[in-house]
Amino acid sequence: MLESTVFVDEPVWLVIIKSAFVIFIVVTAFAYLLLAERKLIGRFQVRYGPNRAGPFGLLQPLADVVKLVFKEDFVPAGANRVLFVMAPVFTVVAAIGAIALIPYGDGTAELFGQEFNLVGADINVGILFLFALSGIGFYSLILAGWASGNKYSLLGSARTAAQLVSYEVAMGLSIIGVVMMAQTLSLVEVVNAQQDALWYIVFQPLGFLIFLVAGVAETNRAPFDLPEAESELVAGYHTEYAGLKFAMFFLAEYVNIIIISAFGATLFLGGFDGPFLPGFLWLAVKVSVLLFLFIWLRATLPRLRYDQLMAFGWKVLLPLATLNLIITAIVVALGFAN
Amino acid sequence: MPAAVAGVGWLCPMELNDYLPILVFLVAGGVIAGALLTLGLLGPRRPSAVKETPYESGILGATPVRQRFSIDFYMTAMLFIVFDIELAFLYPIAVTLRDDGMLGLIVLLVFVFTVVEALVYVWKKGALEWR
Repeated sequence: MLESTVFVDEPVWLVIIKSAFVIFIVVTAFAYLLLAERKLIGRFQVRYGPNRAGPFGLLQPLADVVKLVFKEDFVPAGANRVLFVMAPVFTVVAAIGAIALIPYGDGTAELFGQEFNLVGADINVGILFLFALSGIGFYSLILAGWASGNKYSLLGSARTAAQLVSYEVAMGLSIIGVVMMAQTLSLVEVVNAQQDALWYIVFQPLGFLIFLVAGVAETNRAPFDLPEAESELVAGYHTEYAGLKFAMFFLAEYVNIIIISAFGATLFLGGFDGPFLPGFLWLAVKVSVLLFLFIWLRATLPRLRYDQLMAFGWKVLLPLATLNLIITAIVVALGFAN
Repeated sequence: MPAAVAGVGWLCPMELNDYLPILVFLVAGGVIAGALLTLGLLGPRRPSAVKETPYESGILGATPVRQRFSIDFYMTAMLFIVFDIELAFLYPIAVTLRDDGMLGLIVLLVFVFTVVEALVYVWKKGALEWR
């Protein structure tokens, strides 16, 4: 077994300050991811993208927030009021909670004489816990569609549910190869295992590919954005949402994209591992590369038809992931991967 | 040595201590969501009967909102349960596979082939076709 990372005990106030800081960074990243996406999509389509609010459009996220605050935010007549309001709350809570599990540095660091851990929570079932939190996130999307009292929303949420659970299976299977090689479910230990060997993308290229495709589907991104297909479902599960409740779905969706990218970077690209630069910068670089990939895919690929989407998940990704699992199991158990 | 939060013995048993930061993040998520909901109260309030009808591209809804929908959604849900339980069983085996050696590998392969057989069966039965 590998040497475990040594962490320090932290007082409660430190945990709270640290989490506030990390959440602030992720939410800021969300705001500028949104701007970067609009800018990049603009460039992909030979447009400028937003460039009016502030230099290079850098104040655009702020302008968007102000606009959304002063939009009328009503509950439609057919809606279940309690669930209609609670659904976006659940989705934000699940997305923010998942941030706690991503390690962003090796062990501990010291600032102002206070030593602290470079991870929110290192638990020994981190990978499973991340899946559990994303599962709770699914509920809110389904609740949102059901509680809206709208046909498009209901159909959108049924589609969302079917799509998310289908690709969840493929994603879970694609990660098992990594778990077998690292012999752990803790995200910190997975990175440690990669520091000793090579990044797992070298050993698990098929697994990484399946993870990436399933990740795009899990976050409802193009070309798998069926839950919010504008041209057939108006906007899917959030048709009836306006103002800041709509913004909450947006926040959660983009935080989830950042989480999935960080998760993929941690499992397959060595997480915070890298020479010269501090760990959190390496993680930021790897996450940015994956985020760019997400945006690039959206700009390039047309949306799939729903039957193609389901067939792809069950008939292509699931068998491939199982194949990857069997090959990895044989190689690991026979001791070729030591 | 896992990270722990000091001085909160009264709040939870020692074994759950490393989960506490997640609780902090979840509460922070709740605070953010609550703040956004509260900020939303700043918007204007001009309700009208027409505005509050469910959106259907500008026409009045002719059929009830909650109708029956395709059986395929239910099929997918059932298949998901089977394969997700497969996953739940596979993770513990995966962690200890290297130490379990040949026996572990055989157990794993028998299990996976059983599930693959089920996949082939539902595939041939047409349960994966979306109609």
